[in-house]
Amino acid sequence: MVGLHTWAGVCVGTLLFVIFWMGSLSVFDREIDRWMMPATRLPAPSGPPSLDATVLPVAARLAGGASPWTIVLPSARVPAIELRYTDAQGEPVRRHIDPASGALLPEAGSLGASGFFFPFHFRLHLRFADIGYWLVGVAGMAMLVLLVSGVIVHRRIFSDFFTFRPRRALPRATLDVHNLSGVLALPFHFVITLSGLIIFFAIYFPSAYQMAYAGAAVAPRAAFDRDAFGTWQRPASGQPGQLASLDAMLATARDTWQGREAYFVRVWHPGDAAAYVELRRSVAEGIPMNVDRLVFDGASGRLLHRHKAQPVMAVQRFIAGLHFIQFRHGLLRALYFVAGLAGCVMIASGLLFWLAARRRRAGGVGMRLVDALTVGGTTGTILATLAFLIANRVLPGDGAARAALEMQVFFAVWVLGFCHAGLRPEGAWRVQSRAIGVAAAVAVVLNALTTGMHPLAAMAGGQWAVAGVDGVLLLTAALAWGVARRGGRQPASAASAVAGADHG
Amino acid sequence: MAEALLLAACLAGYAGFGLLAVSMARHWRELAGDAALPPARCRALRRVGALAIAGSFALVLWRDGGGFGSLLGILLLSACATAVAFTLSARPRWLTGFAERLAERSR
Repeated sequence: MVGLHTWAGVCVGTLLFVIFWMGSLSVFDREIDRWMMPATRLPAPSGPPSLDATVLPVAARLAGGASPWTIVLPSARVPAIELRYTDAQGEPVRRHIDPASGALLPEAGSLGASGFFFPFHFRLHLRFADIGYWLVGVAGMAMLVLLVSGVIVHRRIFSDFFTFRPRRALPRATLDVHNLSGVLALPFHFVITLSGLIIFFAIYFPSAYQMAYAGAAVAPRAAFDRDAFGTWQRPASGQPGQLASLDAMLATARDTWQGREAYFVRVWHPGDAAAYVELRRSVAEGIPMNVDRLVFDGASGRLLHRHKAQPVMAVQRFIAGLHFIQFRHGLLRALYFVAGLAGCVMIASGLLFWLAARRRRAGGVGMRLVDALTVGGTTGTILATLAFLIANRVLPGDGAARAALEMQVFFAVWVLGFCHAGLRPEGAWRVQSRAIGVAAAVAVVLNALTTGMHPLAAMAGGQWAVAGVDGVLLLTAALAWGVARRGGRQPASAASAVAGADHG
Repeated sequence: MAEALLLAACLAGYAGFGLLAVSMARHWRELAGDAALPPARCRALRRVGALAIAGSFALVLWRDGGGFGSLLGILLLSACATAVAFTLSARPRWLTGFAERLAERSR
């Protein structure tokens, strides 16, 4: 069991850290988006905007006949209307519209947290053959194994339930951190990992729907999506047509859903006589991410189709909602963030302990590889994230090219982090911790210089998202310096503590 | 009202885990040294601690309902337990006085 826990941890630890880190950031993705897209730092919307007056003219001009285009309505977390479509080159485009004036905001030139950190969390930006999903799936299964085996291996965690001795020798203190973060957030880590796997049941366990829908008239996946998610389709007619009032459809939806609002409007085949409009109900009200959908005829505004989750799907949507945390609850959001970071701490401290316990026994290439992977994958990932934020504030240009450059900065710094750790393993993570401290502070300063919104101004202006991101960055800076300093001290009794701690 | 319930839940959770921690052999030794904790008092500590934790969870359920409440309860209790662990490592003196009062005065 010790071997299982150790080797599963060493093999997927780095990957798990990256997944937990990106997931924790995704908890506040919309808030980080405001930080990264200063044009969208608008006052909170006062009421539902008129889509016919604000969005339709812009969408007709920008998206034209591209099918479909999508509107995400403004919310407490996103004050701007979001318009998504694919351009003539087939590239996805995301633009923002001021709901008060209907003005098209300048291009963000950034994917933001929702476009970069969030997909990173579940598919690692590896689209080829779904390999990203599968790697995350394997890591998720390994995490469940690690959690269960960890409770057995660290058999004293319940008698040492509240034990944290930061002043003891480093390996002992590291193990305390590992056990403490592991056991105290264990319910969260277990539920979040299991729910993450259940979200992608159709990828990880495709035989279920393939067998159930083997006899369907259309492809199994299409038939399954129709039943599970209420996907409704019809082909374009080729005849030109006019779009009826979207505001009237929103009003009908409000009546149909007993006063609850739509958050998402998608227009299929715009400009065609067979155009149709899909409305999705807001998921901000409760834990389950409902799949309530309405489909309207584009020309007449008549209701064509209505979908609501069936019992089994409703359970899946509840579990998905637990994980996606799209509901309105600031305190839970903050606790999810902290618990996610506790997962990062657990994984990183586990890896550090493994390295510290072995460094004195044997060197070798394997050891060095794990060393580089661990340091590059933990402190290197954090450093690359901060470089991404810094690049967001200093890169020139606009549009998709700038967004791509921002991503390349992330990956370049990440590779550098791995190389640095591989070439200079001695104290590499301490150097990178110090770099994190500097980079986090630089990001805050750059935000103040380039947007004029320093943390105090953000608070005064009610821009809590910006103030929050700045605050967490400053905290990161302080913490990184503290950790680097603490790691610098090497108590004389370290070696004996390792021997004693091995069986902790 | 919501804030008051939340504060009460935090305090109950912190107190509950604090009582459990004091009743545990390892932490008792750290706090009270060689002084013994009478078994009856140990059981009482655990019982009151568990009750306080259950009370904290109930308060959160009352505040936020079954769905959000149960999620918040689990996460909040994790946070309370963490706070107790940090208290024991950084400010054990906050608890030593309490432990000394519970200890059996054999000497």
